[in-house]
Parts: sequence; structure tokens; C-alpha cells
Amino acid sequence: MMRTGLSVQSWALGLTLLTVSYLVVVPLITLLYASIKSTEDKLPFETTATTLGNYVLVFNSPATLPLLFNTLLFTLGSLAVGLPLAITFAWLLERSAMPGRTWIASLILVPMTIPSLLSAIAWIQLLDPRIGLVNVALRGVVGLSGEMGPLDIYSLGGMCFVQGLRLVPSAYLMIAASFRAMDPSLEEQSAMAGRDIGQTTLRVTLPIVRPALLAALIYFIIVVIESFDIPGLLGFTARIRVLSTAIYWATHSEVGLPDYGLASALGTIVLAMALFLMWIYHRLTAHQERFATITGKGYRPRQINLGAWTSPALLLCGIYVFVAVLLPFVMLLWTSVQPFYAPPSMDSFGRASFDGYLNIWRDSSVVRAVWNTTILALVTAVATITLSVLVSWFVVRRRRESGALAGYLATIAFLPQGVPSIVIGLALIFVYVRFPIPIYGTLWIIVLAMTTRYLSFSSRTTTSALIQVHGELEEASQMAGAPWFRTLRRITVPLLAPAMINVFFWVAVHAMQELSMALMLYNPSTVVVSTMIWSMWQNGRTADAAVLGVMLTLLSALLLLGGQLLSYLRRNSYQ
Amino acid sequence: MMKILKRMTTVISSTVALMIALGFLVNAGYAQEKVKGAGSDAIAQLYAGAKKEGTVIIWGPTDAIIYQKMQAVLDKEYPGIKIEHFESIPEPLVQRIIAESQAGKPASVDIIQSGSLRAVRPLIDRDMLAAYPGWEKDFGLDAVYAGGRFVGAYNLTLPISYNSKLVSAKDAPKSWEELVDPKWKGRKLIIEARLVPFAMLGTQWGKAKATELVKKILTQEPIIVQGGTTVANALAGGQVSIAIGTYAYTIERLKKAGATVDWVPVAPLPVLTSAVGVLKTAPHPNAARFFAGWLGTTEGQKVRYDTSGQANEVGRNAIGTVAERIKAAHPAIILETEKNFTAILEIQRELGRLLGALR
Amino acid sequence: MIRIKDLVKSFQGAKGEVRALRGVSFEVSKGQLFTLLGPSGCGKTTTLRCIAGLEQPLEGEIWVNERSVFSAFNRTFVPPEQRRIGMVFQSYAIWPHMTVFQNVAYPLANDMSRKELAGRVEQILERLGLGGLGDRLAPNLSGGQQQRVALARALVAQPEVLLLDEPLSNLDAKLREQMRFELKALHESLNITTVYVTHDQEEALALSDRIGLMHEGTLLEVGAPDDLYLRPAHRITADFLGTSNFVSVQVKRSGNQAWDEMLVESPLGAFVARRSVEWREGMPASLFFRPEYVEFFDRNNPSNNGTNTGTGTVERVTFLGNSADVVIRCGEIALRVRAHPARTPAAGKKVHFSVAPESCIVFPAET
Repeated sequence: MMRTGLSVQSWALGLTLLTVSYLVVVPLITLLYASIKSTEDKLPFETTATTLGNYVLVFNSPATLPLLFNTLLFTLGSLAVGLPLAITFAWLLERSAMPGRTWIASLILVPMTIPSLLSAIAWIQLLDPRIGLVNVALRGVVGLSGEMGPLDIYSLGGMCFVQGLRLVPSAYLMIAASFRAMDPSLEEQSAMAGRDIGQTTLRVTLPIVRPALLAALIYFIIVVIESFDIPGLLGFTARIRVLSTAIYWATHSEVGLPDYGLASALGTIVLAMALFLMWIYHRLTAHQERFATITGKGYRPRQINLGAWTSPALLLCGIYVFVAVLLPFVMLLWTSVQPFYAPPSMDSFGRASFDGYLNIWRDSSVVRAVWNTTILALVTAVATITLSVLVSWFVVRRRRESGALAGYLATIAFLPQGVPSIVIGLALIFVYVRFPIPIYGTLWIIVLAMTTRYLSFSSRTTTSALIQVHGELEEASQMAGAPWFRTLRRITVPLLAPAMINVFFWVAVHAMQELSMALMLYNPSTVVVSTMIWSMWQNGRTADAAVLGVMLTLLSALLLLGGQLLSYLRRNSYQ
Repeated sequence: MMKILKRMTTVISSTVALMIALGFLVNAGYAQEKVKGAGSDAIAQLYAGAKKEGTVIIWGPTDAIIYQKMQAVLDKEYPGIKIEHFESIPEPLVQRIIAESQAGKPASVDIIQSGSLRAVRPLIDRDMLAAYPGWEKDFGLDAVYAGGRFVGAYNLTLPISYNSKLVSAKDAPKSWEELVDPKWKGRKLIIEARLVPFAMLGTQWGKAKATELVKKILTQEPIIVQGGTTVANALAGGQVSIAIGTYAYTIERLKKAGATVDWVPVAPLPVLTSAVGVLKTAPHPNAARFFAGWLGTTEGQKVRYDTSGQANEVGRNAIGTVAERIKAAHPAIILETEKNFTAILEIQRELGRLLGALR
Repeated sequence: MIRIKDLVKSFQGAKGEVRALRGVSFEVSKGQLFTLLGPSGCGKTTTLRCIAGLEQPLEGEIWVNERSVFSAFNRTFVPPEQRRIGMVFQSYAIWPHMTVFQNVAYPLANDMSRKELAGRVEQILERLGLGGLGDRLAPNLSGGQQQRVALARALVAQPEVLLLDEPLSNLDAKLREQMRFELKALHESLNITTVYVTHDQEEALALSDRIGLMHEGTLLEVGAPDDLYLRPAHRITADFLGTSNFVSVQVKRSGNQAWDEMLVESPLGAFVARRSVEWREGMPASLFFRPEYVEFFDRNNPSNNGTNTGTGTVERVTFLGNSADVVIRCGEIALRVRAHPARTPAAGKKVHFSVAPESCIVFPAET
């Protein structure tokens, strides 16, 4: 750039580039490096011999192809369940005049606040063919004989269902902000041309939020491919193995050292998929000016009255809230008052005790863990959002002039989602155990790990939101004499606020629950609630673990309330 | 004159006899309180050194509450040693220890505790643990492994467990082969995904027989899930009738809390070893050795046993209900030691391939 | 006041590089209202944005008020926020999360006292007919009001130059005409150097002191509105402004240097016309005249001494109120004539017409 001297913007770009590159490249290189090492019984940096053996194994193994095929089915199935629901909710809660939508918007997010370990148990307790409450109830209602069924959660369908539902809160958060910002004249024109709500939505609304939908699609494809919660819980029994199953076995052989070489080779495959998806996304959102919906002309999304569709919509929301939110949370509460799991009965009600809630605070390490977790969540959220907004700004606004750099930044911000958590953990251990910067063994190394990973979700969301903000709004600020940073602060950030609030909440909640990286990186002084829950569970203190889980949910609810309040205030101030 | 001599002999001999008897009694009595017994001088010296160091840092999967209670008990008998504990699964801990040592950093931990011996094999391979003969010699422990490098803190017995409401004690399987009986087909079995008991069986039966058994059991449509707690809770909740891969002490604990579960000391009975070892580069070597030894004594085990129900379940140092039941049934035991843990690992990997592992 | 020299700019389009500006040069004097006129894609907005600093050209120079704000050769580039230029965007770019007052107050420097700031803002709001709307949230205004807010915001800091990018194109016809007058009046009272971009030639003719006609990245010609309308130097200019008639002709003879008269042979007969900027003997050319300069005459009352006459049949008559649009067919050619509403020939009638030589221009035929 021909500029007289380095401007604030150049500094910011440089710093962002360096920071994100640093955060991402370190685990990435570790991944690639480890994948060409023979790591049976050795850590990647212990051996000097390089080998392609890991890749050879993956490509030659007869198990690989069925693995990939199942992964494809599982991914498509889960997305088919989760994304349409998320899109429907985003539309209903942001664009329609459905009553009670503020409440529902909060409730939808509750499943996300329950640590996945505990919610997994909740699902089994609900859907197990024999004793799952839903099945028991259904049998009674429909009048089926036999002791099993009708719903079998241990199947591909069951897995897709649970995973799909799992995705809804995150997908909703990613997409909702884009629905909120709509130039009403676009939809009004469609209405004037005689189209009804359905047609308008399909032909006008959805295409405009296409970048957000695409971003969600590619993000969650990688999420499902990489996540092991559901395949671990249901997949073994259902005899469905997916890519993350293979990665699990490579990393949890429970014999001292993970097989990082194999895990990394598999992780590299996931990474290659992520790169490919990113490339497609980039092509499809190339001419992004046409997606700008926040212009100067208007920003009053009209709340569409559903008329006759109100009841079905409410019914849908009601069913979802009941099945995906209420039931699992109730199971969590139930687990927290039971010494061991038993379905509700006279006996088990008799055993119920709320002592756990009273005793939990006597343990000083719990208090410390809660404190650590709160700090961790807030700092990670702030760091992630800051980086994310900067990344998005450069990716969206500088795309024309510095296309290659923008593409690079967008891609590396997205990639960490594809790197297995423990690889990120190992990478950070390896680097910081030697580094003069004393973050090893502190909370900050965990912040670093989480920021790296959550940058993916965050940058996808803020980028989609920024695409909707017309560039001329910022140019007008420039013409009014405001330097780059003031424009960012007074124009861009306030207009991005809905997306930023969503991201803040998402990152904070996930940071509170994140387990794999925390387990690798934490210290006695940096105990966090997620590791505490996990170790309580391992030690058989199921009730205590559930109590902490409930606490976590309440903490997240507090955060959510704060976010909603903020949103509500902003909403009233400029709509 | 003869009378006086006789009287003196009687007195002397009775006194000597009394002293000998007393000595025996004392010895026998002190045999229960391991630390003050044979080699008590060495232990006292060790304790003195430990007190001077003042701290012991232990990493492992033990619950924090147990350490808090241990601190209370330790302070009564052996004050002046602060237990700094870090609770985590051993795998990341082992990696961090190796990484730190590779980077040339001083060790930040004294004692590493394993959930099972296999987990700390990498440290044994890299010869990072200090052998201490004193545990056997001075503390009188027999659960000592890897050439004096590890003290057994507790065992994890892997029996066949059953829900006593759904299955009578008579009908419960008494052998591993009975698991393939068609009456257990159809989501009646739950198996912990890492198939550890079968891997251990393989060290006695041979890999092929163990693999065959697992394959047959897999046709029984079992529920397979990872995590012993989940397995135990599934059994307690009546989700399944038979559970494999959960520990005997867990079942005992659930029983005590009122669950209708029980376990069968089936033969051969796989028993894992959770042991503590001292790093060669431990910053507080005396405290480490002392505390590790203390953990293996009845006193040390009792604190743990009273809180979580874990203790040594085989061998001379065994205490607790599980130990008693095993003693009563005396089935053949397959104990995890440094001699067979590599074999267990290999079979475990092979079995893992049945469930989706690539290697 | 504004000097543009040899601007070159390219973009990466969908199918490769697009040369948006191919060497554009012009000057705007102080207080002048200069309009860049042309069809979409001609480069007028790009030029405007280069003046603003929102685009950076590849080559050339830009001077504003004797200050070099851009020079490719000297590697100078003054960022937009330092150019002291006010701009009104086509989309108005009003900030939806702020009130009208906040929008307009934004450009004012922070070192102004609150009272002074409020005073200035109120003043400009009053001036633009927005008094009392200060507390209204920006999106809660009509289109016309939003446009005025954009204008107020651009003017409040008393910039040296005002840039307007198709400010009226989003308004309905009636409002557009009204705003046109107001803009003109505003410009005259403020006497601020203004560059205006539009594709509407009527607007350009009404508002401008000078017009620069742009076509495919080049500035074709610059001149006063009446010059460009009556005496265009390029065929494209002629075609773009107003309605026109073009007849393919062959150049027969060119006048001597003193007088630029040409004789051409057309399907209508021999015509005498003025020459355009370029001419060549024997070249295929286009004869141009405006519909309003075609006169009907009676066979018995010839005018024009018989030069530049033709005959045809009335094909269609459209009554427009203050005039009539008549289409005459002469063989293969269709001519448009603007006739007085009272003297309109009936459809189907055979008519004679003539065009004064001063109103005819010969352009090179399009290749």
C-alpha cells in the first residue's frame, strides 16, 4: 500500500495477522509434523525418524473406506436434522411476530450450557430402548408390549437425531444475527410483487443470508466430523464407526501415550476437508456486496405476522423445548439428587437428597474452580471476539485489494476447528515448556488453547455479520474525517453488536465446559469446573458432578440473561 | 543355696520368656502398624528428611477429598509434611512429565500415580523412576512393582457384575464363557469400550482365544460405552443386567448406597494395579519416598478405603470387602504387573480394532 | 480548485481485469458545479471515489485546493479522512444506530464545545428543512429526509469540496425534481466546489455549470450544458443527451477551413451540415439533428431555400401535452420530430420537412 508511514490500520492488520498466524500455525505445524512421525510409545518430538507409515496405514487399511462412508452419512444426517431446525428458529425468532419469542430464544440455548458428558448421560436416560423414559412413556401411551423400544437410540438414525439436536443452539447463534439485519424494502418489494411469506422467504430472505448459511454449513460439517461425543456414546453400541472413532482410539489407548502420529494423520485428513470447504465457501461468497443488507436506508426488520401459522410454529418450538431442553435438564437435576442413577420410582424418590447442593460450597477447590472458570470464560470470550472482529474486518473489507491475504486470514482462522483438541494441547505444552514466556502451567495457556479453537466459530459468525453491513456506512465515516479506529469503534462495532453478543455468549459457555484441552493443560492452581466435573464423574461421584453441572448451567444462564438484556437495550435504541 | 538358684532361674527364665513373648506380641502388634516396625529406624530417618523438605507433590487420579483426609491423618502421626495434590488422569500427566524433562526443566512433581500400571509404562521405559528398596525392606510392603519403583496404592478388580433385581445370584454368569449364552442377548450386557478385562484374559488364554470370545460377545448386541462410571450407573439403573468393565469397589459402593447390584469373583479374575512411583528428579525425594510408602501401608490405605472404597485387593497388604470376598472365593488372579502390561497393551490394541481402531 | 490528471484504474472483474479509468483528466474551478455524466459502468463513480480517496488509482494526479492528495509518481496518497471533503453516497449511508443529530454531528471535531457543536448542527438542520428532527432515529425518516440528513452531514464541517454520488436516483420523480431545485439553490448560496455524478442527463443539464461526459473509462468531452447539447463534438455525447436522429450518410465535400460546412449524401437527399471534430472525405458518416429542430413545411411554402429537405409519411403521433412526438418514415429511415401540439400532422399523411444546416452535425459512423 502506498501510504505515507504506517497507519493504525496497518499496525492492526499486521498484529492481527501475526497473532492469528501464531495461534494457529503452532498447532498446525505440530499436527503435520506429528503425522509423519512413528509414535508408537513415543511422543512426536522424541523420535527423529520420519515416516509416511501413518498415512500408509490409513490409506491401506480396509477399515478406512467404510469409516469415511459412515462419517459422510452421519454428517449429512446430523446436518439434515439440525440445520433446518436452526434456520427455522432463527427465522421464527428474529423475523416473525410469534408470541413469546424472547423466552424461547433463551431456552433454545440451554442445551449448550450443559457439559456434554452430562447431557450424554441424560440422553441415554431418556432414549435407552429398555429404560429410557421417553420409550417407557411411549410404550405406555401407544400400548406396546415387550420391554424394548419403540425408539432405538443405538442406531445411525438415533445418532443423527441426537447430534442434530446438539447442533441447534450453536447453529442458531451463528445464523440468527444475519436474520436480524434485513433491509425491509427488499422483502416489501417481494410482497408488493404478490408473493406470499413462503415465497418471499425462499426467494428473497434466504438468499440474502446465504453467506451466513454457508458459513454455518461448512463449520458444522467440520464440527460433526471432528466431534466424538455422540459416536462415543452411541456409536460403539450401534457398531457405527466414524473418523472420530478412529481418532479416539489413537488418542485414548489408555496405555500411557497417545498414538499422535496416527491421530495427526487422521487429523490432517480432516484439515484437508476443512481447507476444501473453505475454498468452496470463498468462491460462493465472492461478490459479497450483494449480500449487504444493512445500508443507510433502513434497518427496521418488519416482524412478520404468522397468522394461521402461529399455532404450528408455537407447537414446533414447544416440542423442541420440551424434548431438547426440558427433558435433558430435568434428567440432569434428577442425577444431581440421586446417589446413583435409577429411573424415577418410589424408591428412588426416597433416596433423593439435595445435600450435594449444600455441601458443594464447603469444598474450597470448588470455589476456586468456579472463580477460575469465570475468569477463563470471560477472558477467552473477550480475546476471541477482539481477534475475530479484526479478522472479519480485514477479510471482508480488504478482500478486493489484498485478496490473497484476506483468503489466508479467513482460512487459518477457520482451520483450528479441524485440529483435534489434544493436538492443540500437546502443541502448547511442547512450545511453552521451553518458552521464556511463563504461561506454562497457568490459566493463560488454557486461554490460548481455547482462543485458538473458538476463533473458528467466532470468525465465521462475525464475518457473516459484517458482510451484511454495507461498506458505504464505513466510508461515510471516513469522509466525515474519522480515522480507521474511530470508524471501527463507532460505526462497525455497534452494527455488529448482535453477532458479537452471540459470539461472546457462545465462547464463554464453551470455554466453561471445554474438557480435552483443559485436562492436558491445567494445574492444581488452575482447576476449572469442567475438569472437576469430569474427575468427580470418573470417581463415581455422579451426584456431585451433576450438581456442578447444574451450577454451570445457572452460571451460563446468568451470562445469557446479561446478553439478552444488552441486546434488548440496543434493539430498543435503534429500531 | 539350690533353692535361691532355682528361684533365680525361674525368675530369669520367666522374665526372658515374658520378654520374648512381649517381643513377639509387640512385633505382631506392630506388624499391623506397618511404619513403626521392622526397619523403623530407616523409616524414622526417612521421615526426618521428609519433614525437612516439608512438601510432597503427587499427581494422579485420586480425588482431592481423599488427600484432604489423608492430610488430616498424616498430620496426627507424622506432622510437617504438606501434601500438594493434582488431580488428573495420568495420560496427560505422563506426557507433561516427559515434555518437561525433555526441555530440561526441573521436575515439578514428586510422585506420579497411575490409574493402572500400563498408564505409566512410558516413564518406566524411559527409566525416569527411582527404585527404592526401602518400601519392601523397611515398610514391609509386598505390593511393590517394577523392581522396587512402584508401590501399589490400590487395585481395580474387573469382575462380572450384575443387577441383583434383574438377575438372581444363581443365574449370574460364573465364568467368562457364560457371557455368550443366548439368554444375555439383546442389550442385556454392557461392556466398557476399552475391553480391558478381555485383554488381560488374553495374557493367560492367548490372544486368539480372547479375541474369539470378544467377537462372540459382540454378537450378543451388548451396549458398549466408554467410562466405568457410565457402565456402573447403567447397571444400577436397570438399563442392563450384566456389566463388564466396571470395578468391584464401585459395585460395592453402589451396593452400600442402596443399589441392587453385585459382582461375581469369576475365574480368572483380572486385577489392575494402581501404583505410585517417585521420579528420579523429584524435588522432594525423601518426602516422596516416605509418602509413597505410607500410601501402601494399611494406615494409608484405610483413609482411601473409607472415602472411596479403593484399596489393595490382593496380596498381603489387602484390606476391605473386595479383598475379603476374593480371599474367600480364591479364584485365579491375573494381576497387572510390569511383566505382563506390554502383553495386555498389545492385546488391547488388537481388540480395539474390533471396535474401530485403525492400529 | 480540483485538478485531475491522467487517472488510470483497473479492477479485477469476474472475467479478468477491467480497466475502469483509462486516463481521465479535467479541472473544476472554485465554486463550480461539475457533473460527471454517463451510463452505468462508464467510470464516473470510480472517478468520484478517487477524488474522495476511497479508491486509489494506478496512475495520475489529483489536486484539491492546490494540495496534492494523490500522485502516483511521488507516491503520495492522502487518506480520505484527511481530505476535508464532504460526500453524499447513493445509499445515503445514514448510520441506523444513531439519531439525526448524532449523524450530523459526527464530522465535527472533538475540540468543539458542546454548545457550539449543537449550534452548528441545528443551523444546518434548519437550513435543510430538518429542524426539530434531531432526536429522531435515522431509519425513522422518509427517503427524502434521509437524503437531506446525508447532505447535512456532508456540509456541517464546512468542507472545501462536496461530492455527490447519484443522490437523487432513489427518489420518486416528483421529489427528484423538487430536490433538484433545492440542490441548485443550495449550491448557489454556499458556492461550494461540487462534483456531481449522475446518469440522468436531464438532471445534469439542469444542475451543472459544466458537464463531463464519460464513456467506458474515458472522459469524452467537457463543456457547458448548452454547448454539449447543441454542439456535441462526439456522437456518443449527442446520443446520450436528449433525443436524437442519426442518418447514415456519405461525405461528399468538406468546406474550407474558414467555415466548417460539409456536404453529405443521404437517403433523404443532399444535406448541408456542420462538421464534428473529426471528418474525412469519403468516409461513412452519421448525420445528426435533434427532433425539435425539424420543421414541417407546406409544399407550397418552402423554407430553407430547399436545402436539407426531405419527405416522408407520418407513422405515429404521441401527444405529450406541451409538445407532440412524431415519428416519420422515409423509406428505411424512421425520424423523430418534436412538433408543436397545435401543428401536428395526422398519421398516415405525407409530409415535407427541413432542418437548418446549423442544427445538423456530421459524425464518423460507428465502427
